[in-house]
Amino acid sequence: MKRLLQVLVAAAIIGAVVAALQKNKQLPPADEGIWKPVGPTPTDDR
Amino acid sequence: MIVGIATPSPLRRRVERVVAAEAGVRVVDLGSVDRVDIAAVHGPPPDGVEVDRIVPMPIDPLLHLARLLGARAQVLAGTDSTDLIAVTTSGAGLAGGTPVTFPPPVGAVWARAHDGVLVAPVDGDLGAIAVAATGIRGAVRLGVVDMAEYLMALALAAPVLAAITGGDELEAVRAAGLEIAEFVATA
Repeated sequence: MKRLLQVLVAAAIIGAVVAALQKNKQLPPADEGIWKPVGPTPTDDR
Repeated sequence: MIVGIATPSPLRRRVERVVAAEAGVRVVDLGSVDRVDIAAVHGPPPDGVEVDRIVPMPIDPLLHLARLLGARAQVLAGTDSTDLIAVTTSGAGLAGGTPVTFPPPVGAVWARAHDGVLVAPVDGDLGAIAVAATGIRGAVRLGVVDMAEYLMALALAAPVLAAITGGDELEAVRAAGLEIAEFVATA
């Protein structure tokens, strides 16, 4: 029984660490907007 | 016009195909001819070849393309500086750093600064560039995304394409197939 508890505690700790690492690897929020194709001959006369 | 390309880059064949697509251009092996009109090279051209014009190829192609795009953003924005130059590199994504939003499907990823450029590792074969500039005409954000090797081949070919066409490098690679996008903020 004691051995089983040790295994469960170890699994819980590993799970928490993995979850924390996954959270840290989250992508940043994207800037709000859209990417539009630029026309064939852009000029500086905007 | 006869063009020879000499580079140790594994992308040499792709560069040759990009350049060979130009009308009136014949791409040759620099080691097999006596003379070329243009030699696009990393380093000096091979001995024994008469070269009318030597065109150096960029050492870091994606960064070279990013700087070309940054210069375009500066012109459009009416300024002489950029707010952002960011490129992707092959590798596992970062867990934090500076957020950069590239055109989709790369999208928003973490980047870290390296010599004034934000470098964002991304998994897979895609490459992307994002640049931004703010000036008297407002803020301009431009980006590109495509297969990384294709972008690098276009960038390696940019100087020689410009030499062939007589135009600027960015317009030359656009004519060769580069698609540019502009970010329009909605918030």
